[in-house]
Amino acid sequence: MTDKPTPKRPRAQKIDLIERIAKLVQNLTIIFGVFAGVFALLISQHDKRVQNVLTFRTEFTATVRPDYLTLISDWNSFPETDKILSATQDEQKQIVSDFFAKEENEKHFLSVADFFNTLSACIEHGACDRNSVIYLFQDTATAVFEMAGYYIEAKRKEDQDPTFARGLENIYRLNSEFFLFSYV
Amino acid sequence: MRTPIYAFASIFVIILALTVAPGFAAAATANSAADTGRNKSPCRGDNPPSYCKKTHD
Repeated sequence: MTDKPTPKRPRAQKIDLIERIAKLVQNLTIIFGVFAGVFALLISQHDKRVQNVLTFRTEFTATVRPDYLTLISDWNSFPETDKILSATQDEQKQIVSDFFAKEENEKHFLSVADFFNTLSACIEHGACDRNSVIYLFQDTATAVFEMAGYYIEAKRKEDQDPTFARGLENIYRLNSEFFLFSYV
Repeated sequence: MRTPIYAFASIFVIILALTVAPGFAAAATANSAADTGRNKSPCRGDNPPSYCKKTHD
């Protein structure tokens, strides 16, 4: 003869149900809490990387932008550049070489290149957000690098220094990353 | 059971938007203000140098 389980009283059943719900809420809170903590950490780190880029932008505007504007303006008003679009590559090299023969132009370029070396190092070490750099600086890097490319190549050969203006080139060739990857 | 997941997802999206928005706003301002000398770039000419990006806007 087996003992039949005694049915629970309605009050005990209620308490049982409340306990189950409480347990479920507790587990969900733990699970979501862990995820929320991780997300909050990633977002705050991303925010810091964006802030670092904005700090670079402020520094650029205050110190390097005048050199950049003068360089581009001097390049645009350089008489020989009128025929650069239809020139052969040898002629283009000569025009760029003539432009950088002027010490002042070289000085402005070096100021911009030095800034981009620092910015590039910041990205490489994960302290600056890559996509923000692209949004804020790639146009500038493109204008300077495309204009001075022949000069950079010649200087690298002449000085046997392949790292000359490397930061400028890195930012010119930077590809944006999927926005979610920028959080990790 | 789905309600907490939706709530959590919504909060995540809102936080994400709040985090990213200032960066995009700053970027848009900077780009619109950018003055470039790219019209006279050798990369835009008939004989682009090898150092130029292949895709050009």
